Amino acid sequence: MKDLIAFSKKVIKGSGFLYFLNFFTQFLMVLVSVFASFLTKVLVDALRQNFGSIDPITRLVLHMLTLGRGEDYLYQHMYVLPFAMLLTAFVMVAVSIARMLIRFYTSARINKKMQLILFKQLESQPYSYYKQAKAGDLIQICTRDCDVMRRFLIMDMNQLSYTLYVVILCMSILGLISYKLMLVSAAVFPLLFVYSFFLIKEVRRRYRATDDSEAKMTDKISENLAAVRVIKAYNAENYEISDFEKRLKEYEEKFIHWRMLSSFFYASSDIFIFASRSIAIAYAVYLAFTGEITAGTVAISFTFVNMMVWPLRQSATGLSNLGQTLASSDRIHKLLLSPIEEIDVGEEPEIKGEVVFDHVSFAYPDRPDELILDDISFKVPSGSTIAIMGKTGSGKSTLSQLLTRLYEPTSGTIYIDGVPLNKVKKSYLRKKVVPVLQDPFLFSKTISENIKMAKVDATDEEMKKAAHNAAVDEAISSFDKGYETPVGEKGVTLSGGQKQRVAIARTILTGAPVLLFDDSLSAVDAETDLSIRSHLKRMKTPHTTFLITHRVNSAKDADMILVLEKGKVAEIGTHKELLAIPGLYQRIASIQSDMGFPSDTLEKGGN
Amino acid sequence: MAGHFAFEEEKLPDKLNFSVWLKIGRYALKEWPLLLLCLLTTIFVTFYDSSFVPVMNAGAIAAADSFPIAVNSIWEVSLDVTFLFGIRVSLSYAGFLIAMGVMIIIRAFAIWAMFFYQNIISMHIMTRLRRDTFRKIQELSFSYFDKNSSGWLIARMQNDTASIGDVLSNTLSTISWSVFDLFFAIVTMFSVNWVYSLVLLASMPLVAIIVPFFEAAILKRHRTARNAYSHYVGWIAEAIDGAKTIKTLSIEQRIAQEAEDITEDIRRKRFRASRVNAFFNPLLEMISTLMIALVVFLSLDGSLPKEFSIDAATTILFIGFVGSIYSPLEGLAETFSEFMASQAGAEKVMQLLEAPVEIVDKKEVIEKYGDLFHPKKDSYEKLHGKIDFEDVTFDYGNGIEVIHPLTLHIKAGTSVAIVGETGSGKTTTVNLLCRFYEPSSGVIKVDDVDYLDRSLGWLRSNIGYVQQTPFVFTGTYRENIAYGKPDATMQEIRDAAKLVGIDEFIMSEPNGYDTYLRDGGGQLSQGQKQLISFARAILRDPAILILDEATSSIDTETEKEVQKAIAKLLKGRTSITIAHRLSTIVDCDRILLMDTGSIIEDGSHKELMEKKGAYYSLYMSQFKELSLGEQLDAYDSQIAGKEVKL
Repeated sequence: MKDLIAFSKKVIKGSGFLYFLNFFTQFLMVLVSVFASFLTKVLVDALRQNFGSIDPITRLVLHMLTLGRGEDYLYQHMYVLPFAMLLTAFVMVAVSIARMLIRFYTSARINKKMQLILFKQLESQPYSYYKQAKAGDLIQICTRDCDVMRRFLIMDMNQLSYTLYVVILCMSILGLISYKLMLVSAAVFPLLFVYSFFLIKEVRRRYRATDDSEAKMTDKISENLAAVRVIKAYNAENYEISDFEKRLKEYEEKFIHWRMLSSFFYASSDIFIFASRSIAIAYAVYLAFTGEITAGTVAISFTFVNMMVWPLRQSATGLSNLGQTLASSDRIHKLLLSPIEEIDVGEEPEIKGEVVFDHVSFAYPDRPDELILDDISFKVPSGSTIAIMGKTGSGKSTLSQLLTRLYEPTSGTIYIDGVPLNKVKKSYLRKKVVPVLQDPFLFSKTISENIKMAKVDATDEEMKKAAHNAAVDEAISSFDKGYETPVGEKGVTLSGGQKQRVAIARTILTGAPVLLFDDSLSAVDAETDLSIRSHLKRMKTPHTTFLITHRVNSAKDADMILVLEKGKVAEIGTHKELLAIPGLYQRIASIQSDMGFPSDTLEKGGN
Repeated sequence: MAGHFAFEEEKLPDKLNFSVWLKIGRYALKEWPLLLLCLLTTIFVTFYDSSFVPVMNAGAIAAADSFPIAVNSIWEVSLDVTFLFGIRVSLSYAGFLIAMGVMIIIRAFAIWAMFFYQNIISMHIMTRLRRDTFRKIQELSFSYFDKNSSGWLIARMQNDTASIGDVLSNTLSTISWSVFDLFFAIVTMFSVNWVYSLVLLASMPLVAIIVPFFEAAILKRHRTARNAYSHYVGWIAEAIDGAKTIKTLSIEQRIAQEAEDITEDIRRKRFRASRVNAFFNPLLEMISTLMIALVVFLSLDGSLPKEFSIDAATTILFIGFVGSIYSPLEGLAETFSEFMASQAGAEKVMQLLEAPVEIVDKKEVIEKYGDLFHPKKDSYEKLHGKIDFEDVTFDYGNGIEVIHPLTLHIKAGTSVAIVGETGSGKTTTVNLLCRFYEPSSGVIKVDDVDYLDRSLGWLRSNIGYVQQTPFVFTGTYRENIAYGKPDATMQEIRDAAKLVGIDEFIMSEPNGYDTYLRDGGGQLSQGQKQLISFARAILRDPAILILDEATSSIDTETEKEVQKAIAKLLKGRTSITIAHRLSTIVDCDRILLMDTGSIIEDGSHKELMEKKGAYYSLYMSQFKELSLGEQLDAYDSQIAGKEVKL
């Protein structure tokens, strides 16, 4: 509950006045409509020329209608009443329109604010958060939970305030006219409220059971569609149909179970509502008979009770939904509590690309004993290329995650151009040290938008140049719409190699002084690999290149080759040096040349 | 976008599609007893709401308006109530109370039945549609699934069927409700005072024009707003999937700007949509108040003839009627909009239900062997496993031949492997053999008989099929293994599991073979899943076994286990193995290398390696794709004098 209030405050902040205005105009609206109903009482009594013992409210209204001239004036000038009705209607229309506009405007605004708060929080989560979070859960927070909150803040709260206003106004007016009538009219209300509140809870429970069973049916359908080969090959169509039939039957049972009760709820709470009205009117007739109230009061008691009962039932059903709201706000709260990554703090030193690892070790915080990198030290001069080789799990990829400060070293320091990396502003660093991930992600935008993702203001010329350097220009130009081809469901499906190359073009276009290729040429054939490397070498902007690879050919032209084994530096040196000493590199090189790997080098081939 | 949801833009049709609704209407008509019941209850409830309650209230007010001074007790008072068609009833106070009480109770029963059975009708329409579509899906041929994604099909079977059920039942009930509500209100009005009734009705044409106009605008704008929201959901899903990339490219600001734009778009469109509501409801209220004021004004002016004068009670009664003649119109307009909105879904569902089934047995064959759902297994001949392709060609109906005249003879009991690049036609060949597709020309013979002369059921009940990504159904181990033979005994199931070496593992699970596997066996490793699908295949003791890339998604460690199982599987049957990783097939009797729809090399692994042709180069080039560790392992085993297994 505390979380719910805290989050609500946060969301309303900035729209506070509008939110208040919304409730205020709602009050005005209720006030005017109660007044309009009251006019019918005045009408009935004026027709009879009998106001009985005049209560303060009637006196006030009479005073307003006749501008203080009293009821006798009204009897003479009855047309005042239809005019008053019309006038009230005009006021009512104006107030309603204003109130609805304010309400809808506030609702849309609050909704936007909520979506942005949640999105910004998500976006500021560190890399490690996304490693353990389930995408489906996060999407749910941003969509369903967000909607539940909006429903609560706007609909439920408005429903509640509406009910409060109506009940308070109608009851006090009735009370002023005849407190007995008020008490009898309201006799059933608490019962109606409590009854609705508890019964609807059970209705909701059964609804959820129905919903679950429907979800099971969807699962069955999607399983059936995914397994279509197996089903056909195994001749299992009949089996599938009978299995589906079982789920249908289960769903039907749950549905009937739910609908029985929900129908019962509406039918039975209708009894309360109509009973309330009937009791009020029967008692009013009796009071009129005894002369305690006038015919007009009989009319108004009926109208007022009618105005109160429906919102009461609505509010009760709305309030019983609080459980769901709390669950949603709880999930939202957890996300908001999760510490964010501060990316805009630190220095912005000039970065040319000299990288030094000084006794760097790393272990994931949840497994501190398992060193992924163990006391790594090396130096990469700016503008040079370093290749990193090693088996899966040797810590290759961790190196690049440390360099972009997605993780921080457990011990030791990384320097970039002499500045300790942890002093450098992350958002700045990541513009200067740009990786191509192993499994690159492309957005469902056009190819051109994807390449320009990290440099929106690049010219088409620059973009094409980058694509050419990534050896993907030709492939893109062969598409019907060229660079304007959308990626994904609505456009082309790129092959793994094409995706990698588009991602490489995206990285090259940034013109960053340090480029990291994290096994990002794995889906590219040896020839294309070679041409990309030769393009990189000839690029005008000076840059340091980290090349994580398992191909000796990709590595051999590097200025320095680093071989990692179980998180430690096993060998370091140039291709020639490493070939000369027995070790992992020598073995790999000999295997790969044995197996007929093309032996082109940058000196010999490439373009 | 990673495809978490299947989003579709909502569109509105231009005109009513009668033929589709007639077909759909048949589903509703099957519910005629319930429909009749709903109609009767509706008549009662509308009578209560639009006639009984107003006249009773009017009677009460009239009584309060003029109590005779002569009576001493309330119980002696009589209340005059004018019912339908001017029937006047004089009720005592007690009679008045009893009448109200009894009617409340009856109404409660009526509204319960009405509400409940409306929902039941809607559910029945939906489940019937789902049952039919599901059955249809089982019959449809492969080519249908090539053209329609499963996301699309799920949307049809799940969302569209549900909305058709709702809309049909809603439309029918709203129409009957509105008609009778209006009917009772008008008849009651006229019974009381025809002059005022005419005055009130005079406003109806105006309202009848305004309401549909606003409803159309509201619907259209809300649709635009919903589309904007769908766009947001798709966008946020992508932003979450691409979070790592966003971080490494440091484009948070850019994405935050997109977030701002998209949420602003929703905000604008939502407000634009609800703005119409803000004017619509007050406008209707305005018109009704005008009418009320007119009624009151007329009743006050004593100079008019006798018919024009009414008392206080009747005035109140008419004020009430203003509301009851407008709301049915609103309801009708809204329902019509919803009805039109669901038309696109209805069209698509009918399309699915009427899609032609391409692969179906000939009449004679069905007579002899039964159809898919009623097989006559007793007439099935035993299948030995001799396979002959004679000049078989295949194209997907677009004239582009993907299999060129292919002739191939496989003796019963041989193990054959088909290898080749993606698109070389190896999967198509197997699809043809399984009769997932049929040859465009040429004949495929199984045991020397054209397979079109035998039933699909006969062929497929003799084929064991294991696919690339092992499929585990949500259910128990027992159900999963017995999938192709639901009547298998526990002993048979365990024997099959033992043969592939998964029995021990299953027995170690908490409930053994009855352990329930959720989410398609999410807790199992890829290797374990594959072993289960092997057990499933072996349990049927098929004459022909097809392994479609059955090991390509398994890591090298588990592959060793799986290889052992495969060797046992192949023994004594005709087998066709499609493999990308050549390591899995070196032991096969025959290897067929396919290239662009033709077989270019045919022989054992040894023969083909010695030939140093296309197979040899393929074998060598695969080595390069391995990771460092695998290369080292492979090389070490070669040095140890063994065959290089990739």
